[in-house]
Amino acid sequence: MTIIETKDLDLWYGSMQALKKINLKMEEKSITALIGPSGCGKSTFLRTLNRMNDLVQGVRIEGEVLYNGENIFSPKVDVNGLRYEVGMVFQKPNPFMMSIYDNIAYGPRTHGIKSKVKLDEIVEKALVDASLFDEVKDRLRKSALGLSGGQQQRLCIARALAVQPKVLLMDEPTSALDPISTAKIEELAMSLCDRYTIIIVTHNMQQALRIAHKTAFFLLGEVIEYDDTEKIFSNPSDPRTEDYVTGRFG
Amino acid sequence: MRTRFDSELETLYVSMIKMGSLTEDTLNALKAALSGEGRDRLAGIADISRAIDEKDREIEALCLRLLLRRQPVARDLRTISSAMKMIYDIERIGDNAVDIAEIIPFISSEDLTMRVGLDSMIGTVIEMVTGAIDAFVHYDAGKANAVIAEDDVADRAFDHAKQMVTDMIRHGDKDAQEAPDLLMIAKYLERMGDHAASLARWVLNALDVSGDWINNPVKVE
Repeated sequence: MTIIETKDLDLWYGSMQALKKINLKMEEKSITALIGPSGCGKSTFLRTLNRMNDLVQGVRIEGEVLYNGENIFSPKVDVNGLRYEVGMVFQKPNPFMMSIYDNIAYGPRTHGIKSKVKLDEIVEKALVDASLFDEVKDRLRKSALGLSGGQQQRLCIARALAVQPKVLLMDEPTSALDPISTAKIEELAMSLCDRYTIIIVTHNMQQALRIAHKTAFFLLGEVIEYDDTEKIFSNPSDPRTEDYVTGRFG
Repeated sequence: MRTRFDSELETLYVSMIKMGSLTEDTLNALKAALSGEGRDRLAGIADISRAIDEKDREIEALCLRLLLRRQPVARDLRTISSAMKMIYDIERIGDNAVDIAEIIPFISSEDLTMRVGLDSMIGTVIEMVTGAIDAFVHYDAGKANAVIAEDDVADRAFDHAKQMVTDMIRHGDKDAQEAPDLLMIAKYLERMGDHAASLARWVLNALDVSGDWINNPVKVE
């Protein structure tokens, strides 16, 4: 079932058009990878899906982004509510300067949850889901900044999960991590996709191949090809996709 | 971009051509022996076959190295994985050539091999092997399909040889005692044709003519 669909989505930064007529349907509970050379619009597209681009000055958007069939740009839509449902994890881990526990509890608290028992339960579940609980259970009250880079990134995923999103947007979540931490995040993404929809921007072709069900290739603001990942990497339909995935340009 | 990888793929193509060319050398030596042009080149076939085996190992190592270091996808992956399967078929053709070269000295006269049609059969096999290697190097689906179609010619030639041999035995021909050797040569040539057709099918997989190479590859027998 489609959870997010874009229809003729155009986006301009001032006079520069960064996205051109993007029409994509993303399936629920699956992993979709967005690939393409730097500056092709894939991160811009990702940020559009939970209206993060609203915060950028001079941005103009036309077309529609339907989340569960509803246009997210409709005046009726509560943007904060949208961002709870469509969470985001960034390239560089960005834990708050507070304890591991408080990082996770931050979102639920802003939702008005005050019960310690309830918060404990949420924090533990989010950490377990993010495959981090066993590593941090004895130091939940210690600063999150003491964690390794890979642990910090999984903490950020746990923080996103704590508000029970439906969709996780990941913008190059492993580009700053070592191979072991990268493998853990990839395992995590694959284990989460039976409950969450994951859309990931990656520059790592092998990562897209390892984890994504579908892959979209972006070039100069356009989607050149969108298909099953195995098709994209074994026999793409468009020669530009073939040239990119085989490293002939980019 | 990727100049080094392209040059490594070029090395692969050149090595495949060399391996194919060595195989053609063995087949041409057999052709000469089977069509009455002389048996003097038969002695060299075993050495060429060893060179083919060496090329096989060299190409396999190159392909494994490319898979490991370049992590190829799309056309590159199809080319390299098909090359790895093709070298098996080429190597088997080389082995069959050695088998035939070992039998030919027991045949008393080239008149017999020509009577059974083995001279034209080896011609067909040479065309098929050359065509399959060309198809791989030039990414030519038409040529690959032509090789596959030619396998029927080789099969019919085998049926003809079998009939001739049967007739020799049935009619008490004075050369009937050589019939089993003639039949074995015909069978080896027929197997060579099968390997050449298999080479061509791997070319079609490298080209992904089915459009779904992983789940629906061209069937290689």
